Amino acid sequence: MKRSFGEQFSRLRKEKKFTQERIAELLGVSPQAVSKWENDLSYPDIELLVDIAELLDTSIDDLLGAKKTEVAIVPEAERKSVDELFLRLIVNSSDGDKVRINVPVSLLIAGLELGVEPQITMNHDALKSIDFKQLINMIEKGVIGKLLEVESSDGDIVEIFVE
Amino acid sequence: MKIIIDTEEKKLNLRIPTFLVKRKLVIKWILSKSKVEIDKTKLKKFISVFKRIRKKHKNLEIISVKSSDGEIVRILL
Repeated sequence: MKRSFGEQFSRLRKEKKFTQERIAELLGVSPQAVSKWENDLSYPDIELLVDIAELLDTSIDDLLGAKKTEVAIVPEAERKSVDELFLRLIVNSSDGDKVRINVPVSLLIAGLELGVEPQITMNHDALKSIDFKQLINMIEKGVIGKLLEVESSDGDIVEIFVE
Repeated sequence: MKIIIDTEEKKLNLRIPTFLVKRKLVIKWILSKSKVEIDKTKLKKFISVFKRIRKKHKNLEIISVKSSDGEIVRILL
């Protein structure tokens, strides 16, 4: 599923640890404008996209959500450490609720080893039986990208990414 | 660790001292409530990973919930 500009911008800004005020200052716009972009209430001027992409160390394609999040297997020599990888769980419910869970993979591994068994409670059998240990196995073998996308009968959408 | 709750009526910004989250006793208590059997070595490893991750990604937003009526709950590391 394609992310909106606002979602993408907000995620990348937070990853770079910029506050809305700071990035507004760097781009020469008001913090209110940044807030509107993040809520998809308005969009930046086209000339600003290059500056935004540079500041957030990304491409304009990625900013606009055009980057494909297909599954890929990263060769061992190019793999990031598990501290740098995140398991992102995105839930968009049919009634408009949005849940975003962003867990560092190393923390998830330590939690699973401790005996914690994360469960997604939703009206869909496939989600009840997600084996997080199996997901970790895949990640350790270099699999990244969108690992799962499920749409429940009542329209809720769950996506799991490794980035 | 921060928990931010933003509703139409109230805005709560709860700061939980990290030393509490990192305490073995506190984690043991939390896990005992979920009936998880605890292995001391694994608990030690979990705490050390937690400390490392927090140092590396301070203020990382681990959970964000936006309800359709505009209520927001965020948990930051």
